[in-house]
Amino acid sequence: MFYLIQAGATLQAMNDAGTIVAITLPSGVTVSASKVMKAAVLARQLLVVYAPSKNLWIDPVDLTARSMAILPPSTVPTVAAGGSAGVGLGLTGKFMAKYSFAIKDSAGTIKNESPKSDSSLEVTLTDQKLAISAITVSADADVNCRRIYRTAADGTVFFHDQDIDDNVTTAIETATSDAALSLLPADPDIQLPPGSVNGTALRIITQWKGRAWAVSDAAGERDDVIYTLPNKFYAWAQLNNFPINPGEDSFGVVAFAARRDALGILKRTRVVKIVGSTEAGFEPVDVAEKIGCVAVGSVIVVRDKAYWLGLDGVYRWDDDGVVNLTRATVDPWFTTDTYFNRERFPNAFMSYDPLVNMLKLNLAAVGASTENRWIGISLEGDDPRIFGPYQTAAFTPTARVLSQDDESRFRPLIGGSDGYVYLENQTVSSDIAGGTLVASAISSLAKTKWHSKKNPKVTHYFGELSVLSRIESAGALVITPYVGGLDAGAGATFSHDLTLGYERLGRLGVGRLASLEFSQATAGRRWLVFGYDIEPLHEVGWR
Amino acid sequence: MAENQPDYQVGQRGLNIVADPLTLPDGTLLKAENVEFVREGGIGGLASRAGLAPLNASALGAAVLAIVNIPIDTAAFGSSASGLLVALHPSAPVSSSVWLFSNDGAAFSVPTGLASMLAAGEVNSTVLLGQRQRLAVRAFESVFAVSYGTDLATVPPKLAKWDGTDASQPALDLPSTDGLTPPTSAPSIVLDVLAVGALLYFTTTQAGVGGPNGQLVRVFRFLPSSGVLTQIGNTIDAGGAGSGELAGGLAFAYGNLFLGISTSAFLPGRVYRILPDIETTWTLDETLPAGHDLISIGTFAGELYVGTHLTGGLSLIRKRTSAAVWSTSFTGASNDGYIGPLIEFDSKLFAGWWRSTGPQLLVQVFDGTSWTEDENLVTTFSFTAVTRFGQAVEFGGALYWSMPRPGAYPTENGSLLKRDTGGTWTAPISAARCVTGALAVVGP
Repeated sequence: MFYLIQAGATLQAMNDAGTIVAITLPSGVTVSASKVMKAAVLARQLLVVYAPSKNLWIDPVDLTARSMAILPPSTVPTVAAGGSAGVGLGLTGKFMAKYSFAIKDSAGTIKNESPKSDSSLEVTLTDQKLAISAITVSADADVNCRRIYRTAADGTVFFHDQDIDDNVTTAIETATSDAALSLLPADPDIQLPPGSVNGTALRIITQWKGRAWAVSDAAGERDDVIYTLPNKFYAWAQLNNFPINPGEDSFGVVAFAARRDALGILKRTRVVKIVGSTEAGFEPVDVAEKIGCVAVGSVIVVRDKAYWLGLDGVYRWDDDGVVNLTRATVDPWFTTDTYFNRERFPNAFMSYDPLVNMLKLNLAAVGASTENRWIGISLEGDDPRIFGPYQTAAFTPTARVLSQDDESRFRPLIGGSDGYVYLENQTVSSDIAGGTLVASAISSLAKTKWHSKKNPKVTHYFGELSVLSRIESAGALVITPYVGGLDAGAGATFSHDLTLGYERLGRLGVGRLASLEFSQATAGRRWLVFGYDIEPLHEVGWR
Repeated sequence: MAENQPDYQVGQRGLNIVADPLTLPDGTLLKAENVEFVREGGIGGLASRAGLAPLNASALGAAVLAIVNIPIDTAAFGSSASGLLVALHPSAPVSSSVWLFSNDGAAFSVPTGLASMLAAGEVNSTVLLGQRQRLAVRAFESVFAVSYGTDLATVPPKLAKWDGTDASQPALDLPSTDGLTPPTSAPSIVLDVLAVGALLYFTTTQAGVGGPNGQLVRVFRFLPSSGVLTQIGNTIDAGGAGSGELAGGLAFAYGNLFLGISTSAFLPGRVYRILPDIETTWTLDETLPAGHDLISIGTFAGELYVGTHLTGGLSLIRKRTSAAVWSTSFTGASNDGYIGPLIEFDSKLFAGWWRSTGPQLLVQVFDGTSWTEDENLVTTFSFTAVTRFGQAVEFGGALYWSMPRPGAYPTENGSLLKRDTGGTWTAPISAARCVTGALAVVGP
């Protein structure tokens, strides 16, 4: 188990202990610090796209990074009549050949294969061997195998004939009978995906139903969802392509949301799902229009429900459809410029924190150029409950993920602009900065609803405030009363001694409404208020 | 008529800045910055959010733009071995120790490389102090960290690491309070080590103004990846001859680091607490009942427990709540007993209980409601009174206990015991060599 991390223009791996191992990039490949990598795991292999100048395939065993694609042979093989295989043992008929470059592991298993060369010309044999020459060697130093394909006699479908287990030999002869060829035809023609050569890129990638699914970053290809053959990250079949309402905007497919039985295709103003399990069965189905996703980093799936940031709020997609989770409670956060920098919504990122059963979405504060705030969306109960914004003085958040450690325990992580990865839900009552280990106060502030005994037009006497809280070893909670109308100013503050557990604090005063504000900004201190009471509370009169 | 306005689900409904503020239901908030609704003990409440702490000790060199969890094993982080490590003495008195390592808790062998850091005289049976039959050894993630030192010797404690396969690497000598290395005012020993996330905490004891019984206790934090050593809080010194300070153990609870301290005879043990990096002085949290020595410290279900010894009296297990209320959870029924390791395993708290009379080695277990006897080690393993409780660790889904033999009894053998979740006790190591009491689970 480990974490793959993009830190600026580098890729690094980190284990549970925080130990870091740099990943060496293949020759000629660079990582852009202005792009955020996307990654997927397919058949125990790690695929990394977008930020690298070429798609990367990383073998988790040793973290060796290679180009995800092997460039195919650029020339066709030459076929001719070969020597005798013995009377009755040769091939008879018309034959054609192709070949590919491949990488095998020590057990002889194919780990990567290039697209095949174009077909050779046709040769007619009469009880002869098929001589195949002009089999070029690959410039890829990792290639240790060439795979030879040929047609059956007088056929047009290619079957695997044999492997040349080196990157040296340029000519062979084969007398493999048609019956001894591979039982199944060779994979359909596969192509190099975008990102195989410099100047192109896959913008997003995910794994669903044992295949890699991706979308190109090229302007004319952003609506096309492409996918591989099962468990072959290198086999992007030419026919495996779903155009999703092409040309309707410049953004194309923004993100994937991989649920159990449906792959969500999220565009800015459209939600489509792919259903099915095979090439023949895969089918795009419209889910919603005028609703979409604005930030690829905001998409997460929790218990088969997908969540993401749309232009006007946070959405959930489950078997009951797509709903806005924030409209009823914090809609202005997403529809006005008062709370967050909406221009940076496409940079938002979200993760799930199982300890508090909460989605945590990072957004940029008004005027900020980093996602330096986050909000919490509790998934307790039927109606989502919103908390926040949150912030920390210890570092600037730049990434999030819900990870698991070696013991399969959930570990919500936050990445920082300072190059440190931070653990959430720590027992420390401060935020600890990486490197310096300086503790910063968690500046908390909560204000209750206005109390009026459901009669806000009547002036009330708000009596003594008492607070029930968790007993702490030390610390105080500042409680600021607001008594009057909706525009009431702050009253004289109370200091609740958090070592007591329960404390009677004093009278609040007279007014139509009353609200309490709890705040604390001391490093090493925390608080938990179970409840409070205002007693007595009675009407003074209608004035 | 006077009424009241209670709200005992404050924050339960979260924030609402859309609905009519005059008609919001109870539990709704108008502001909710850096707070969250949590449930603690079945009771809900509004709390400041929990803290954030760095995982990596060394920066990645640039902003973290993306993190992806890869749930696949990799060998890229080295060849660290995973297993259980036990310290042995081949005979007594001895000048050096040997170690046994096991990947499965059953078959043990002498590991390569580790012995080289155990130079003559640096680990010996004299570290076994009275009832505290242990040597501070603790695993730390994929790197094994061991601290050791001498009692009544002049060699300072050292910290070294071992990756499970290769030769050990000395890390540093621990500093003395006189600023000299080695200290001129030895002895110095390390009595407990605690691994917390990416940090390693350990206690040292060093001669103070009172001579061998007047000790100075310090707690250090060590970052293995960077080698940075920091003292946590102040040096604790009772300030008088014979007052005696001896670090008894470390535990994290309620967001605080707790330090248990034993004292010389007839002075009660004490428990201190501190918020590392925030507070600079240890706060005395509890003084044990008169005459009770502090032997062990541990946590169970989030609460702090300490085990005691009382010469001529009944040993106790004392419990602390989050409200800083101390009470007696268990009272030993035999004079001169003591409470050995306190460790949470299989959702229960296990305690070693040595008694001066009757069955002298019992393991008690607490399920959160009551204490019962889990095993009579005298009956099961034919131990005699000279055997003591050492350390306890959880490894491979089982609980392992070291049962050392004090140096004063050179003919006795120590054992390593195993207790599985089914309640069966066995002895993977017995009657061969003295088990010193040092145990460690080596990562990953």
